[in-house]
Amino acid sequence: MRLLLKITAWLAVALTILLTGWAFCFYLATVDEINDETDDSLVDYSDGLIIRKLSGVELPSDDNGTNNTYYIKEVTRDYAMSRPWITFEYQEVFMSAKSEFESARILTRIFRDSEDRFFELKVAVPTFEKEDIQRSLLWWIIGLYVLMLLSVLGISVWVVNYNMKPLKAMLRWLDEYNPGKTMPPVPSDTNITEFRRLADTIRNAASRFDTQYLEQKRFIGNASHELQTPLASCSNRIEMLLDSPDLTPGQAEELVKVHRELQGLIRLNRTLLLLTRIENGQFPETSPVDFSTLFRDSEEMFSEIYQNRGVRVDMDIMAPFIHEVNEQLAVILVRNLLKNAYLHSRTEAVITVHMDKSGFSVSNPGDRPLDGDMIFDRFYRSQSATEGSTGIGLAIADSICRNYGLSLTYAFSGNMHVFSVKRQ
Amino acid sequence: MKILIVEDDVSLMEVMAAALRKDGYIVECASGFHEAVQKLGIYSYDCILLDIMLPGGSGLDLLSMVRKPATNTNVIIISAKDSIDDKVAGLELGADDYLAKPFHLAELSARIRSVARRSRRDGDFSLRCGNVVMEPEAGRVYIDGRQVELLKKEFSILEYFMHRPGHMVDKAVLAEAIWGDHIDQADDFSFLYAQMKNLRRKLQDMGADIEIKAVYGFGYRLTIPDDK
Repeated sequence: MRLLLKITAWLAVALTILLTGWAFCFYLATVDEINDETDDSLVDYSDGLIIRKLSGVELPSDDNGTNNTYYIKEVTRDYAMSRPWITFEYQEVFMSAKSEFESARILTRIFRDSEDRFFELKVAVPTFEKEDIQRSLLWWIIGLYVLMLLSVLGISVWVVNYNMKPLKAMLRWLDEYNPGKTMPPVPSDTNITEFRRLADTIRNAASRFDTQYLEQKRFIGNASHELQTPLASCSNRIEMLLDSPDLTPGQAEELVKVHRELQGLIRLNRTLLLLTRIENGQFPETSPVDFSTLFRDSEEMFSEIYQNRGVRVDMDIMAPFIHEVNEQLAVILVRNLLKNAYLHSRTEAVITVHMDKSGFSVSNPGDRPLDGDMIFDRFYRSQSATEGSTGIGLAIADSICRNYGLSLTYAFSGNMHVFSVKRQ
Repeated sequence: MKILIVEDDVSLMEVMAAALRKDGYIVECASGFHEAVQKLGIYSYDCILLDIMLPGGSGLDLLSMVRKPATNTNVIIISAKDSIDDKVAGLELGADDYLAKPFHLAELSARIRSVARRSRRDGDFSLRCGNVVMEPEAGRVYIDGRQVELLKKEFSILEYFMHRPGHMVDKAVLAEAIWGDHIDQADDFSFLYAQMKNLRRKLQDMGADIEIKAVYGFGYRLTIPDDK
């Protein structure tokens, strides 16, 4: 979830709760104030009426142009004594002036004249409809809410975008960052303390990564290089011994075995060096390579080497796949994939090579899927691994693809292992 | 032929020297930059086997030193760095060949013979072993003066052996040289055996006095009548 979205969502929730509470209080306060004013005017009006009544002046007519209505009736002493002398209440009353029921505020007063008679005066004034005021308040609040939400959204978009510029620049930098790659300095053109600290941290972490990466790279390279000379020395000494005439056949056989092991070691060392060099980008020269030609050549070569296996290659080339890549490495890629298919096929199996403009795939029949997460790791070997394979051929193929804008994927479908290379 | 080995690893230097002496060369050794400079100042050599990474200086400096007076000395760079950049730098400075460590003794011997053959003045680049004569550039083979028809692979195999007479050749190395880098030790070599069988039969049928012998399941060796 983007930060902006998150901020807006939280603000929206908070505003909803806040505005609801505010609307409720506002409603109560409004109603209270209106009641207060109405009650005051009712008291004044009733005061006038009571004074008139007590002084024997004629009471005003009911229909006197105001909406006020009043009733006076005589009540018994017991009735008067049994209830409070002044009450306010809401009631639906029939307004004779308007000939309809309306919600009204009613003041009921009980008073006594000089002859000790009790009267009850009800004064009613039509007042606001609660529902009306609630509805209108609700609409106003919704309107206000939408307006506030839009302004908050707009403001937060602007504020976040403006203030997060340094963060965005750093994120862009991190996206492009790769250990060992030459990069512009970490963007830290900001006076915000947190961002400055973040930039410093990124800079330190990146330089630590770079150093580690370089050291590791150098170590692997040096270790492999340093091994070359002793390996040469060992291997050559064995060759010398094998040439010597006083060797018994038994000794020779043992020496041949040692020599084989040593050649395996030499091959492994050379392959590791190759892998390091591919990953260090030490094959910068590229040219457009037609992979269909490479497949045809390699197929010819492998069919000769593996003729006794009876494996057949079915070339299904819809269109040649041409990609900008180092030619030497393209050959290695094609041969590693084809060789892998040959080595892990039973006799008489059919390997399928499918190719179109966007990529190619090499499929060979198999019994069960391989571990797709591990298969491109160095030294991964399936249970049926062939003796003598270094377990590094697919790692090299993968490394070549990654370095030249290709993707290498593995899938198991229809009892076939499928290795696909596609343009990224 | 006099050879100078410049190599800082004494063990490797020893075994190289022993092998080359066995091939009949006169061999001298230098294990460091300064020792090499001294020897080059006093003596002259037909061929120098030069390691690039030396204590006390770079082998490339030594190379340009050898090349300054226009000498006929052949230089083969022997380096642990198997990168194209190094190869190009070495060859541009005038090295005759570049051999990456680790290498086979048979390969070393072949490279020395090859640079020596190329620098011969008489323009005769043919290979001779016993009564077999090969013209690699023309792709022709003669046994006792009669031309022999060989298939492409058979020709390459014979050429490989004629560059390394008397040396044991690992069958995996041979297969790699002829078929490419993608041969593994564990592969079965029936494809190679088939070619070898045909080649040996053809040599025998045409009365060649050289023979390619199988050795202990390790590989083969080309034997010349004098060696027998």
